[in-house]
Amino acid sequence: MTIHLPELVHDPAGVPDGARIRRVTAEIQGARHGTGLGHVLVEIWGAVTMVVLSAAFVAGVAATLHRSAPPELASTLVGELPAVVVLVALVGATLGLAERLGPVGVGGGGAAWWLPMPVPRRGLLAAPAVLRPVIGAAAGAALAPTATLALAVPTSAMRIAVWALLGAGALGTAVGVAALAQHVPRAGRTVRVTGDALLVVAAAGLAALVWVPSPVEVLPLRALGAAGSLLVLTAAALTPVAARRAGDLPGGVLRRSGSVGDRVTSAVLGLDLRELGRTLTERTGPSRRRSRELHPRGPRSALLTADLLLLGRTPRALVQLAAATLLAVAAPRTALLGSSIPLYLALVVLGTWAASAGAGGARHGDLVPTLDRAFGLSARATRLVRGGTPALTAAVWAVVVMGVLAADDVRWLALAPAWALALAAGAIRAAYRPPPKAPRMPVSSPMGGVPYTAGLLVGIDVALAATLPTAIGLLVGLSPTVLGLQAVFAVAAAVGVVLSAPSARPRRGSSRPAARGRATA
Amino acid sequence: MSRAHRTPVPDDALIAARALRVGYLDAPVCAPVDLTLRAGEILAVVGPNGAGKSTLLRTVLGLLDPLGGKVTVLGDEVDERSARFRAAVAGVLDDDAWFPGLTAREHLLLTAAGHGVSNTTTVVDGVLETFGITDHQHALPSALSSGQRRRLLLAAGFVRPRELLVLDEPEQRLDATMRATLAGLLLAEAAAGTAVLLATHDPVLLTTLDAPAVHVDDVTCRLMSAAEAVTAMHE
Repeated sequence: MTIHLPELVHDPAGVPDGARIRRVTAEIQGARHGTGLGHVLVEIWGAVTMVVLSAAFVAGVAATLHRSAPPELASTLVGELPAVVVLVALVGATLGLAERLGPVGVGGGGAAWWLPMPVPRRGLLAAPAVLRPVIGAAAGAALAPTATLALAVPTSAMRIAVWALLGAGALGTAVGVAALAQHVPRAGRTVRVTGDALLVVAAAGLAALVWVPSPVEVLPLRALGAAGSLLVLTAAALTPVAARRAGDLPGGVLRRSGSVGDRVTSAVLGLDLRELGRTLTERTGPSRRRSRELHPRGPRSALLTADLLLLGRTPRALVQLAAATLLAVAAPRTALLGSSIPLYLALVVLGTWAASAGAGGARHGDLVPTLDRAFGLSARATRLVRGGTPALTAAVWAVVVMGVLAADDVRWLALAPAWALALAAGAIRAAYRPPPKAPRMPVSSPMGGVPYTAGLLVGIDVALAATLPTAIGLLVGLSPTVLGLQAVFAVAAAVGVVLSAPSARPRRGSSRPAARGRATA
Repeated sequence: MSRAHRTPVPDDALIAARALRVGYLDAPVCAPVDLTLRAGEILAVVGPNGAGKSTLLRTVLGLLDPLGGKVTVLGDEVDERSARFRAAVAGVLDDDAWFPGLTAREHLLLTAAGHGVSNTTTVVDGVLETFGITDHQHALPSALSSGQRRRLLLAAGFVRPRELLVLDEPEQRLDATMRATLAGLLLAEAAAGTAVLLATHDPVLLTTLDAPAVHVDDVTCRLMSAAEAVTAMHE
């Protein structure tokens, strides 16, 4: 059977510009969904309102905490030098994020329907290539002054404006650099490593400033203004170059970046931090390494060895552990977090972050249970073994952080083993939690609809519950009873997390797990 | 005729691959591939799941860089950034991605217009009719069934000019009638001078096309007849 289609009348000169294709698509979609001037103004108004309210909220909380902080802490980690260190951390985070997101990419319908067209791509990609640095600059303009407010820098309209300029220039330049690095093979890795290094340097800087307080409260306004202006000019110079060269990016690069962007957007909207972490830490470097001669003594040893190797071969996880440790070392000496309950919450959050650095194997095992199934271990045994690396990273964090705290009260050191166990239990629970229930209706909240997902707090809930005795101890004193209770709570949490996995062994020959949760057995 | 030997590249080859290694990052997924495809020819790529068929097609389409060897399309090294390449090479992969606010018909009209087609309405009407989605042309893709979305993806490959048509398992999610229609369309394409490269698992489609096939796996890549390829599919 031969079929004939209508003859194509085709004029190569009639191929439209990419910008026109983008505009026509937007107009058709806008006609259905509404993207008129009024809609845009409402969106801008909403964004401005959110930024102003957030800044006011941070300033209010900071002022309250500063007033309530113990006098000996009131002078630590305040002023513009720590704010500069925070800005360095923001630049590091932006570099890493921008590189992982592209920053220029085309996802979704654009990847499938625009990119195959023979239209000039510069016009197609100019908008996102300009928009990304602008978004970076806008975020910097909001975050940098907020950091100064939180760090109790004496404020004036001029000083806030200068910090907005500095933040906009720094983050806009970071995104611009990442955009240009897309054109150079392997430059992306350099950008990513630089971003991670800046994060560690900033965390170390904050930790150092806690012990050697900043000699100056404010920096010369003129110097800050000059640096901000220079950075803004740099960002303004890089952005058009990135936009002009965007058309030279290969389709494969644009699709990969767009795909990462789509997944990140989906994870953020779904409040799915696990998927967000997976997406942003996915391996993009060389897939070959020198193989080691491994001699595991049985399935448990093999699984643990695999997790340890993964941890050692994931620089991002090690950076995460270092940053979490350094920030936790700094936290007790800051006016914002130095007092009891804020300190406890900061330690739980940072400790969970450190423990989750070692839970990469467990997260991957939940997603792709092939390796776990291959060993024929029960789900409980697998969960227990997979807890080994989170326990290791949590132990490193706990020994360092509690060791520093022990300078004031030696009993803190006795809490380290229990905290390591509790945090590892939380990390394992987070790694093996059920996926978000996307089809569920959003939960109504005073701030609007929030997607229903039980995933956001899963893991940290265990860490909070398992370290509750420490919270009480910070209020009433670290008595032997508190230390004993803390050990009991940690062990109970670890046992609970292991027992929450189904106990059945996989059936021999079964290619499919009997149920979710047994997937790793 | 397609050949899987390391022979010199003929001047009229639309696709020529010699010792081509394909894969992700730096890991090849199959043995080195040799193939030649000229205008008016159909060549199938067969092999078990995970053998590297889709990876090979993505490399030919310029979406992945070759890990080694050489591949030329239209006489030049593959460069998907070239407008000439994109104008001549139509690829239909299994990308289930859409503009959420555009109907099925609007997707096809946009594609045709984006390739400089001037009689877009006539072409889109005809292709919609051929793929049996005229009744659903005003539906958003999210409202279509899986099979209807597959037909829409395939239709996009036929509303635009093409010298080379690359299809990744086009039979997926199609009923028997539509598979027969697809076979007829591909034969018509070849008769009109278009070169067709398709990965497939469908012995009926392969038999109908009576096209030679490159069998890929991680040991070796061999050129075989349609009958041999069908036999290999059943092994």
